[in-house]
Amino acid sequence: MTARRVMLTLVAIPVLALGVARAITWNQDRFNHPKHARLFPTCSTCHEGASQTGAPMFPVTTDCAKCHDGTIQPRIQFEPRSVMTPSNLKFTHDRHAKAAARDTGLATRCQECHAERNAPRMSVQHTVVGNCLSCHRLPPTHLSVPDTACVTCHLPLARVAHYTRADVAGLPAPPSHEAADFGLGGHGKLAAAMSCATCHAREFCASCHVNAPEVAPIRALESDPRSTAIATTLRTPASHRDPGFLNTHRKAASAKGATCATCHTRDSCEQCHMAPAPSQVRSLAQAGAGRAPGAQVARREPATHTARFRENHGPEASASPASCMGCHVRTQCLECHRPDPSGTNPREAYHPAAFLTRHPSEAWSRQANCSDCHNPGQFCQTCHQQSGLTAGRNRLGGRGYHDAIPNFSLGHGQAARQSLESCASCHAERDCTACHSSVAGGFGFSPHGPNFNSERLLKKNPSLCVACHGTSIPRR
Amino acid sequence: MILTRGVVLAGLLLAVADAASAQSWRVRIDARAQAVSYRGLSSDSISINDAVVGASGGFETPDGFAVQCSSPTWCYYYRPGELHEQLPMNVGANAVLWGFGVRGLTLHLTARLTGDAGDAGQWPGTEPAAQLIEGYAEYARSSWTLRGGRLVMASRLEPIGFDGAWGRFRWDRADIEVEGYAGWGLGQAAVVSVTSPLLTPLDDFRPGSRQIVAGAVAAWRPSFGDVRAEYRREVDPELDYFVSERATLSASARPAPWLLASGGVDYNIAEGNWGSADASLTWLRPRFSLTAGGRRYRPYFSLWTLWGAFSPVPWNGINASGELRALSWLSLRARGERYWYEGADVNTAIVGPLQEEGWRFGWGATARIGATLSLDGGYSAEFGPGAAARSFDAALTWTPSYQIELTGYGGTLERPLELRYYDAETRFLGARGDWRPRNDWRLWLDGGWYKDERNRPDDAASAWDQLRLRGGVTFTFGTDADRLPLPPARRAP
Repeated sequence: MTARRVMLTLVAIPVLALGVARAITWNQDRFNHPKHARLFPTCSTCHEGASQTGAPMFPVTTDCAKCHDGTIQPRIQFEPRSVMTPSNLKFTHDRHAKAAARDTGLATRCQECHAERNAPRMSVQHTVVGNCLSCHRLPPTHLSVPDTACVTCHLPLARVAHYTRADVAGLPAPPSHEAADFGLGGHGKLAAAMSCATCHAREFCASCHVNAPEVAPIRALESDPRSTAIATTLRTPASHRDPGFLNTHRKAASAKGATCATCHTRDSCEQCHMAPAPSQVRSLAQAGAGRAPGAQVARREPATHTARFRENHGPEASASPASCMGCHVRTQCLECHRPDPSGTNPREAYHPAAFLTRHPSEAWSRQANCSDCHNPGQFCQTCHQQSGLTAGRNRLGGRGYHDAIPNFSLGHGQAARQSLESCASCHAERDCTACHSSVAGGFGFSPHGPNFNSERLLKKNPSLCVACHGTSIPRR
Repeated sequence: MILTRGVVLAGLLLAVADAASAQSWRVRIDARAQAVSYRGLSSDSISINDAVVGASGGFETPDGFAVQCSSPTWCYYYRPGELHEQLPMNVGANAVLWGFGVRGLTLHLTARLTGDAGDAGQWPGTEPAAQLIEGYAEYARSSWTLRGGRLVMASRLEPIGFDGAWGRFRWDRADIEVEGYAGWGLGQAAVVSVTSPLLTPLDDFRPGSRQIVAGAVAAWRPSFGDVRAEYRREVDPELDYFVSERATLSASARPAPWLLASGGVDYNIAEGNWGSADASLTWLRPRFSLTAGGRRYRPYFSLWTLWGAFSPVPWNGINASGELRALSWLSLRARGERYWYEGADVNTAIVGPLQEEGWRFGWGATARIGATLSLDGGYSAEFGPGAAARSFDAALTWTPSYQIELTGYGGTLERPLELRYYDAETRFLGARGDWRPRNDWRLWLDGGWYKDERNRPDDAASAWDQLRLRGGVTFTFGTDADRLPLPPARRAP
């Protein structure tokens, strides 16, 4: 037991001694102001530079050795600092003292900035920020001051040479920056007051603002690549999340004060807008060196472009052709409306696979209007003719194509009125006038329905009437 | 004639281009071809004395073809025709030129060289060999735009081509646009004029001169929608008679971001009747959309034909469709339409009444399997007067990258025809590939095997199996051609 205590004592004493020595050295690195409170009558005894321009701010070792000479006081190993602790304050003691004297008529005492209120004499700190704020009549919490007030005390980032990227990344963000709308426009109003420069430089703004070279407050900032150490990302404005935004953004882009140019380059918009693009797009900056990529737009179909839109787009396209032209060029319309006879890439084709085989049912009832895209003569009749579907020219007969209904020719009226375009895809008019005409040997069977407006047609184009009635056009 | 004009236009373009500075241009060249075969029909007849009564009770040829004996001496029928193989080919060019030093001036050209290397005449649309679809100069200022040359006027009244001029004035403060156009018209959906024999293959009546087209459009474009009214007339200058006179009204409104309403109606002034019309309401949500509406279709014939005098009747219909993104990887779709013809006011004791109404409906689903595979399948059916069809289609697509897409597809189709012994079933299986080695190059190839079985009670129940091949290549180049890809996006959290 005794041996153990001896061993512990032998180990503890050197450790304890080392600790005390370390503590003494530490204290000596940072001058123990309170311990010397009764020795120095004024701060400028040691910090002459605080009150006199050009004088040294810190004492030298020989000044300490005047007392710590081994006789009056033990010698010490103390090396006072020769330069001030780096900061981003734009403060200088002499100018600050003069300004304070000018503004308040009072001499500034050191403890007003370097000690808490009512602290014992020489209980100093580096800088008591609250005191700065108090004197400058700013809110008492450092980061709650208005963003425009940073510039009161702080240098622009670009002039704080000693900051590393890590220092920049560690700069605290004011609460104002947490506001929901701060990133998407709220910060713009503050930018004019130039307080941003305390933490930011041109490169930071340009990482989002693709129009940075054109924006005066950004241009006014100094350049400092370290500023991108503060990470930021583009946020999508709430308006853009509206499913209908793709259809409605024209108005917003055309409005006075539109802010599209902040995030979008011309290239971004031309992902969808085809060249030559609308004037709003052409006015945007081109992507390239010196600009951030900005908001990248992936071309996607608007919500209205459902799976059925290709078949049902007619009414929308007829009413709002300008909307279509935002993304589509006329050639795309002509791809279908003036179709390539050799076929379209099946991925983009209007008709489904095997349409040549399946077209009779859709053509009969005109699920879509064939003649929006195909000339009935050139397309339908030509193909039917080449396929051998030539109509018979004999009266009351035909050549037996409609073989499922005996005597179809004698009772074809309903089918003809229901799908006359299908009839016309194989039959010429003279096939019908052979019976329906009143001239040239026709039987004069009237093909006109009850609502046939003969007077109007006669007025618009009498040659139509003459074709079947000759000069004896009946009036009713 | 068209070739001559095309050469003249190209010369003009080159002349202007040479004189201009800082010119920008974009040209897209498409070359495509397809090989397709088909077996048509061949008209035949036999003496009525040779016709026999078949198993179905009707007359047939001795070898089993159903015949119609519509004359006192002859019966007519169709045999399966020759197998035709055709190879339509096409090289199309689309060019846009701008930046001539005259702000707002652009030139546009869309033209084709086409032909058919097959053995059965010309594939529809491959004549004439040189086709100028559009070729015009545009001068655009902030509030007005002028175009001159060959134009295609997109409209509810069918897109019409003409050689002439078009102008638009936009009054932004009042959200109003007015347009006017006039020129010498082309045939309906054609790149040649109505005087071309290509449009009258049955040697039917052919007009002697091109019609003069003129029209006016007024549009109101407030923030909540668009309203557009158009008047168009076509006049035969030889006789000074109307070929067509129509008006139309279209509207589209978005009373809320999630609601879209659109519709329109045509009126045939020349014939004094309402034409086609439609109205629909779409409810758009991020995960689903629903559309409900009604429409009416009435065929339109110009007054150069007699067809309008045969009083075609319109059909009216109601329809609904919807899409649902049921899961992040699965979307479903469905549609349906019921339609019915207005009364034809025709009846004979010889042939019983035909159907007057019909249905169309379909449903399908698309599933994304992982990042590169998607499976799509759908069923659709149509039952109505004249024809019917039922089909099922499926496609499996593999997209390993933006550059490559490979698809295998297949399906089956049944298509009975009411007016003919022609129940048939087609099955098809194919594959296609789409390759974009560069952003401005694209190649595609599609090949499909089609097996067609005609279910007839006679010898026309012939097989019609065939292999169809299609392929194409697209090049886009120019000073402003496809700058993709842009730098990567910065993602918002």
